[in-house]
Amino acid sequence: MSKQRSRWKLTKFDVLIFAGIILLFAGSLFWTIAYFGDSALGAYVRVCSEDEPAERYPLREDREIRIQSANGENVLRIKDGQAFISYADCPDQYCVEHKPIGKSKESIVCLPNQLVITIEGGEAWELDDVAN
Amino acid sequence: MLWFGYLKMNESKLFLGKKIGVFCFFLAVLCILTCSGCGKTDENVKAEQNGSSVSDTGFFLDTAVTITLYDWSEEETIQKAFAEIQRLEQLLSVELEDSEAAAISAGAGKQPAAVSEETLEVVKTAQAYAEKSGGKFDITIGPLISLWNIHDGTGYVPKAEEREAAKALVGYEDLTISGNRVFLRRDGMALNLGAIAKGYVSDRVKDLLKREGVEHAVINLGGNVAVIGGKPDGTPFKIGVQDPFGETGEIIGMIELEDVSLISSGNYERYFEQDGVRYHHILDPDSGAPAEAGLSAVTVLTEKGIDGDALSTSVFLLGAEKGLELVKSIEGAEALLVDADGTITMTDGLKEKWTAYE
Repeated sequence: MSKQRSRWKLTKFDVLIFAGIILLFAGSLFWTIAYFGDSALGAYVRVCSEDEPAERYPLREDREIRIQSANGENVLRIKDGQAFISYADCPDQYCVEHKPIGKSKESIVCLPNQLVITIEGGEAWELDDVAN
Repeated sequence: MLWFGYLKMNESKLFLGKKIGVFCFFLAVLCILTCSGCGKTDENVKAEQNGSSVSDTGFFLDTAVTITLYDWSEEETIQKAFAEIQRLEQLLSVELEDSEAAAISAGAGKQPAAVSEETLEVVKTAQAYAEKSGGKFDITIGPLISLWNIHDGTGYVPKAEEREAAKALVGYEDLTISGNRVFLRRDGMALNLGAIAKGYVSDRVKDLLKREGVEHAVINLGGNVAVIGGKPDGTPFKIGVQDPFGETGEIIGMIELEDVSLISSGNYERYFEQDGVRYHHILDPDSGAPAEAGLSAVTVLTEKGIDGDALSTSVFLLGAEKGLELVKSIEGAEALLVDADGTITMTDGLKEKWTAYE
């Protein structure tokens, strides 16, 4: 009996094993979040209008955002992990004609209303920019 | 230290458990230390992806300008570039009443305008492209641009007599340069540097950034892309080429770039529609109307942006055959043409850099 008990008893060294394992998990989680925060936790849509501070919205939540600026109004829609401009009161409508975006660094610009929509984090874009 | 003391005290007991415990603990510590050790490398990886690169967008030259500096952390550098763009815009933009370009137009038929070195370089290069393109590329196109007013989508189709009147005021031969003075000989003539200024500005921005020590950058002036170096990992930048028939941002393929400019001109860029017909912004000085040379888009790769900008417009106006001849006459220039049916033609030097998309 006593021999058995001594074999299976939780010793201080067993605690050390558990402490080690917990540290290992906590450590890897910490570094993952610290270095790959955006991509690990999902993508965001960054909305930058004139000199106002940028607003960020998670790409995974469908929603409609009305963006009012001194020059005019745009409506940003986030749907199924993609962001696009569904309405603009400007005459040229180029931003409305832009394809939906969803990959890191992709962006849509509304020139008359001085609005820039950029994806941050998430799936990497295979390109660095587009000539048009 | 506590742990080590404890280890010593219990040395005789449960040898195996101790060994595993110590091993595991040190493994965990080692892992965390290793992770923190490679943190710097990770940060570089992040820089290429989305992290310690810096990027900002400003609105100049009637367009959006985005500058991204890779492996760089000083946002201040971009602001310096923006200040330089603003300075050049003040010289070259006809939209600004007190610009040198506006002064040249204001002096038309009256007196020459003395201009800066910068404006002079742009005007001289433009005149060279006017010669090379047989007069298709023409910076005295101002009266036609004002008439059509295509830039913001509010234009209308002008009457034939209005068009003829405006066309009569266009002609690069009537622009003379003497020293630093530029003169439009006939009253009513007007300059427009819209087809060349952005390319020139991108060159000046590249120069400034290089002086600041930047080695990897993408400069996007309203769709005109110029890059410094390649990516920090040693691979070239990958720049998409707009599909002239698709939505904005849809691409037909990708070109790998290092240290060059990639500039597109097309009928999809700025236009208005009337009675189901699309009227785009690249006006032909011979017809006085939007160019119809059988092309939908032209993308030009050149060392200097000023050449790329002038060349892409020239080729679009000249059409495939004459356009490709012109490209071949300019050293280091490559071009990709999309015709009205969507057929792609490109110069040989571009083929190895090009990847087609579905």
